[in-house]
Amino acid sequence: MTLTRTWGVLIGLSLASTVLAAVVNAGQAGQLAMGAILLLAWIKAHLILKTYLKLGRIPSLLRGFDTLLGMTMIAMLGLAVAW
Amino acid sequence: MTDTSGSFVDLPGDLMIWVLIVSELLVFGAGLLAFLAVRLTDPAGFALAQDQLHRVGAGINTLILITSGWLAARGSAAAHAQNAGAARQNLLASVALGLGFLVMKASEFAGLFWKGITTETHPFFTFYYLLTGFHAAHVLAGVVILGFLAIRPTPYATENGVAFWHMVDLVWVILFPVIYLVR
Amino acid sequence: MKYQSQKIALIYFATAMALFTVQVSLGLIMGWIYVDGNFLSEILPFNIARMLHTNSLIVWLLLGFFGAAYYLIPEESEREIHSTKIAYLQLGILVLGTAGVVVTYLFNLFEGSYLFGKQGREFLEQPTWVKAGIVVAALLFLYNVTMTVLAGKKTAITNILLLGLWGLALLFLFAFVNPDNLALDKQYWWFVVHLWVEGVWELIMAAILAFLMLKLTGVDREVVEKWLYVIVATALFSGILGTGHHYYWIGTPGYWQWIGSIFSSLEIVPFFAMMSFAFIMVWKGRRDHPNKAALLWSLGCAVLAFFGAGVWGFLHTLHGVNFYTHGTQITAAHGHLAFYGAYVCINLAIITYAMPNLLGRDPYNQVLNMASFWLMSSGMVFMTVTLTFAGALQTHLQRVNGEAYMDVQDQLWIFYAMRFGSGIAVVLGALLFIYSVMVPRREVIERGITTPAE
Repeated sequence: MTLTRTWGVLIGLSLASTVLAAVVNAGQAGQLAMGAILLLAWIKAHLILKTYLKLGRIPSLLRGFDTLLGMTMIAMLGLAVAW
Repeated sequence: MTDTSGSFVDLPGDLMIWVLIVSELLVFGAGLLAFLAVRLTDPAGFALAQDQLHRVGAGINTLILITSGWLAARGSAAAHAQNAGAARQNLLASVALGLGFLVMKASEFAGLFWKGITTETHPFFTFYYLLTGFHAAHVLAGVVILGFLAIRPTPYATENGVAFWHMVDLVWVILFPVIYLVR
Repeated sequence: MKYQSQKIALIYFATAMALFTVQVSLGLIMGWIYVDGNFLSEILPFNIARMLHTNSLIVWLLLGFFGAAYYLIPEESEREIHSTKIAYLQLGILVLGTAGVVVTYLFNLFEGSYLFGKQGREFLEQPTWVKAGIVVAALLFLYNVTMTVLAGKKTAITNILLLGLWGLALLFLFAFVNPDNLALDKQYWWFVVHLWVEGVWELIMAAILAFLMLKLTGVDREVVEKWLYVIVATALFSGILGTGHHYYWIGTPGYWQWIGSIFSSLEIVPFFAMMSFAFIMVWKGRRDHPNKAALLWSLGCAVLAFFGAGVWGFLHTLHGVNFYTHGTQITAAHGHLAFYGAYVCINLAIITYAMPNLLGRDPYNQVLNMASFWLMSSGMVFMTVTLTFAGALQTHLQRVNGEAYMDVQDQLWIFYAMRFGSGIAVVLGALLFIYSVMVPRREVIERGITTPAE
């Protein structure tokens, strides 16, 4: 993905997160929305690692970072929607 | 005998900047996880505290930082293409947006402070000030670094300085939803 | 020995060894006091013995660092030390100060005097005149070695070593800062203690370890330097804000509990890196250096430092745990293995490496030396384990159940008895080490391939 396309996707995902947070309030839907927001954050982080930080050029290294990122985001998801 | 393991030689940037990036990600990651864990002890209190924040402003700051990162990345590409003029323009634009982020942040902190909200007001705010404060300090450092790079955008230095900036961006992209949105 | 002025290291190491015997002997005495509380209580109260034990430790470790610097800087910079006279003057001042300290503590001279009497705070009990003497000695030393390096070759090893030594001296100035406010007093106290042992001392240790790996394994200098920079960067990144793990309960704002917990948890990284570094260098190195004892001490140092400072440190660094374990035998367990693993061992390693060269002999008494490593290290590890058990029990009885301090101490007797036994092993090991390096007898045990050092 080119730099500019990545930027476009990141902006789009950010707007989507903000809309989700504004529109959905409490209850079950709220839990889902929180999960979705964090998933979007996960994707954004992955894109920054891959394209901006250019780790996409070294697949093995990107996999390593993705694994750590994944474990962290799953832990955050678990803690965020736990109650 | 030189020890060249493949990944370290192809690393986009100096080994040391990556040691720094990984260290910073570990610290902010631990901080955010700790925040979410403590939140479990008082979810209602945390939600009430979070309502004191200005989500829209922080959302705009996200767009600012993402765009600033894009410009910095373009600046780094220009530096590698030996196009110092374009590199300088992009880096300075990146700096301007970074300063914009800091202005928004400063007004956010000021607003809360004048409402009498400090680190001791509620555990939410202890984490809020610590995490966004440390992050803002890194934005400031990044702005200074990018500023110096704009003066002399050599490919090697620009790549490393911009990598630092992307790390700052990366932290915010996770920090923003966790602190401001999750309830 | 390539450069004549390296000989300065000999008398520094000898003085350090003398103080080492004083230190461990006092340790043994205190170990017995823990078992029989009234032992020597009239002529040597426990607190005096403790002061002498901790102070002599710091002084002999510093003398070891200075000796190590005087030994390795000429080799790295490829020139003689700027002034041997200054080096001996420096030592004279330190010895005079040490004598002054011992006499002042033992006989409680000039009690109440700011200039001549004990100054109260833990580890910084030295009379102000002695502290001033230390500063003068440190300045002489820094002038001497900096001038040497500036005029000669600058390597990563000399740069990191000097950065560490300058930091050591500048941070010591905080020893003179003694605010009336107790919280502030403690905040500044840790600027000396934490930023020393979890900061600049790590730089010194890493530089000496790098020097030893370079000489003993023959790995390319560039590879060693890359590792050294990563170790130093992670040490400073984690250690500076890691100071916060001493600010949990002294009256500072609550956010220190988070800053301290997070950053200090990362302090294990440089020690893990040093351990990996040492073993990978040996694995990849092509030199089979004849001084096997020096290699054993170097590898042992990295491993024991990782466990003592890294693992045992992590065990009680999170504020949730520390709330219960603070100031218990857990702290003593960590402190002993950390100091031994990181700083005692690196000093004994460089002494083991340098002595044969300084005396113009092939590596000698290696079996005795290596035996002393195993004896001392087993003793220290066993001590750590017994104190850890004691500390866990103490934490539960005293902090969770709420029993009184002395009632709990009575129930820990068996651990203190075992600890005394381990202390005997440590003292015997120390004496064996000193004999093995000071009294040269037999030469190498097996000839290695000695290519000239870079």
